[in-house]
This record gives sequence, C-alpha cells and structure tokens, in this order.
Amino acid sequence: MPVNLTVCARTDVGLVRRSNEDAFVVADLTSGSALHEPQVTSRLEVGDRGVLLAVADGLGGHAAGEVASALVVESLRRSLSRSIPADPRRVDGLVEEAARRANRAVWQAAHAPGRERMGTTLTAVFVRGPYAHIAEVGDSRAYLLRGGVIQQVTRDQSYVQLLIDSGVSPHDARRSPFNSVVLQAMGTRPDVKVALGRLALRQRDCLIVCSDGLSNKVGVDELRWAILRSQRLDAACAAMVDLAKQRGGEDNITVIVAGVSGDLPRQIAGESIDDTFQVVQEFRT
Amino acid sequence: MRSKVLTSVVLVVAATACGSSVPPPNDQWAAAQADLGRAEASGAASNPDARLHVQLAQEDLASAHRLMGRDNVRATTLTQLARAEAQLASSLAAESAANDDASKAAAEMQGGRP
Repeated sequence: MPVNLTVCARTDVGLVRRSNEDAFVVADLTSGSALHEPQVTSRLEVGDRGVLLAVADGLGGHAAGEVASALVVESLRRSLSRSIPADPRRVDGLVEEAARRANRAVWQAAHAPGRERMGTTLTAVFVRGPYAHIAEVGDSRAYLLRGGVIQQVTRDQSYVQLLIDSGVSPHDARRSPFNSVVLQAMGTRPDVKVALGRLALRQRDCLIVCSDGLSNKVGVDELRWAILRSQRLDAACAAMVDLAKQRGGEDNITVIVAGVSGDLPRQIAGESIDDTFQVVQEFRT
Repeated sequence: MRSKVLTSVVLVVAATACGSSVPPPNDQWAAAQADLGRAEASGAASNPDARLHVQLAQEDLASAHRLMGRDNVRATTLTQLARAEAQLASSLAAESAANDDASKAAAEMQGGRP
C-alpha cells in the first residue's frame, strides 16, 4: 500500500491588507493534473515523483510580493517535477537546489522596474516515500502533529528568533520594534542559505505548513486542538483561519494541513519526534 | 472514476485572483519570447552555465501558452518565470563572455612581456 496524503489548504486576505501576497502549492508531481478549489479536502497517493506542499509569503510592504510568492511556488514545483533520485540524501540536495533556483529566478525578476525590493519567504514540504523533506527560507512554518504532540519542525529565520536564541524571553522578543524582520528572504540576494530537514513519517502523522499570518496569531496548542477536535481537515483549516481573523487578521493567512496514512511504520512507544527528524542543514547568520 | 480524479491532484494557487478575472498575458508572453530570443542570440544555449536556463525558459513559455485562456493566473506566473530565466541566461552568457575576454587579455599581456 502506498503512502497517502489527505490535504486541505486555505488562504485568506485577512481583515486589513487589500491584497493577498501569500501563495501556496499542493502538487502531486506524479500525475500533474489540477484542481482549483483550495478549500476542498483532497486525497493524494504519493507516487514516484512525490507530493509538494509549500507556502510562500510575499513580503508585506515590498513591491510585488504577490509576484514573488507566485514565482517561487511555480519554480519549485517545476524543478521538482523533473527526475527524482531514490536516495533520500540526494533528494535533500535536489530540494535545496530547487529552492536556490527559485531564489535566483525571483532575484532576476526583481530587476524589473517597480519590483526592486520584492521578496518572499518559502517553506516547502516535499513528501516522497516514507520521508518528508523540509526546506525553509524566512519565517513561514511547518509543524508536525504526531500522537497528540505538536512540534515546530522549522526554525524561524527572524530577528525575534535571534533574540530568543540570545536569551530574551519569547514574550519580550515579540514586543521588539523589529518583530517583523526576517533574516533572509527569497529573491533579495542572488543566493540563499536553505535550511533543510528530513522527517521519517509515521502512521497518522499530520503536517501543517503556514504563513506567519497564522502562526503570529494562533498558538501551537491551539493549532493542535483545531486539528484534534475537528472531524475533517477543511473544518480544522477554517477554524485556524477564523481564529487568526478574530485576533485582528492584520496579515494574509495561509495554511496547508496534510494527514498521512498508508504504508508507514507506526510510532513506537517512547519515540519522540526528534528521534525521527534530522537537521540536514541549518541556517546560520 | 471519482477516486481516480481525487487521487491525481495538482493545486496551485496564486492567492490574489481567480483565473476568470485575469486577462491572458499576451504582451508579457511576447516580451518573454523576445528575451528568450536575445538569450539565444547571445550564445546562451551553447554556454554550459546558461543552457539550463534557456531550456527552462522555453518550457515555461510552452506551458504558459498551453494554459492561456484556461488558467490565466498561472499562465502569467509562468510567463514571468520564463522572462526571469531568459534574462538570467543572457546575464550568465554575458558574464562568461566577459570572463573569456578578460582571460584572453591577461594572456596577451603575459605574452607581450619581455
């Protein structure tokens, strides 16, 4: 039995912004056919070429953020649609190369008048076989919910995270006047340092990928509860987005939730998420 | 049949608009085609660093053309991506040519020394 994903995605302009600069992709790279109803739950069989889940958050206030985010997800999808090696370590390299190529394309496109400062974050989860390969540039997040425990599997490349790492409390760090600063973004330099991780999947894992319009408003335990108490993924996505909007909805809000099933090992007693997650490459300032 | 459809899904959303409200990117497509022509004329297709970007631009243009009228949002994005790839190919080819010229000049200077 193959690995299957049950996926729902939702994006919302929020309550303040006039346009939605977020973009996302949910792509079955084996079949390549299309569906254009993002709020519908879909069941995907993970084929030889894998499934790509990615969120890009065009930088607020920068020119043409929506162009940058759309370019990045399209470029990533295109690069990963090419031949995929069997060795998971080589897949890590392929995902990194795809992200760097997407960065270069946005950087080049940013030479056009009016788009000089465009950029975007990227968090991509590429599922192939029993692994999820996770790539991150910026501060969009990926979480894993497993056995009732939720854990962030990306590390924000942000000024707030830098303050927290240096000992400032999360509460104080978020009150910094520079709390919206990201340390790097796609398209603002000719090259990026892509943070990479590889997760060995388990039966009934649930992956969440989101922009900071959600993660800044909805706490990790609230995400957990939204999924655990919802009968369906579309209801969970709607609950998360609604909560972010109830709390101001100042930013665009995007979330992808993917439930994992099929031919995978079960979580064994005492096994933590960290036991199955390998940091392949860290982002360092 | 239904399960077949549900299991073979690609969903790509540029969140700003739906396809029906966006016109086909005819002018941008023509501009991208021109950029690709310039890249090819600059020798990018035979340059090892630039060749892949020429190929990607060609593929993006073909995909965008197929999507025009059906999914104009994605066709526009692919056209923009094609322009970026073509311009990148041109830049890489020009950089390579400049490096070659610099190497030749340096060699000539070395050769001209007493």
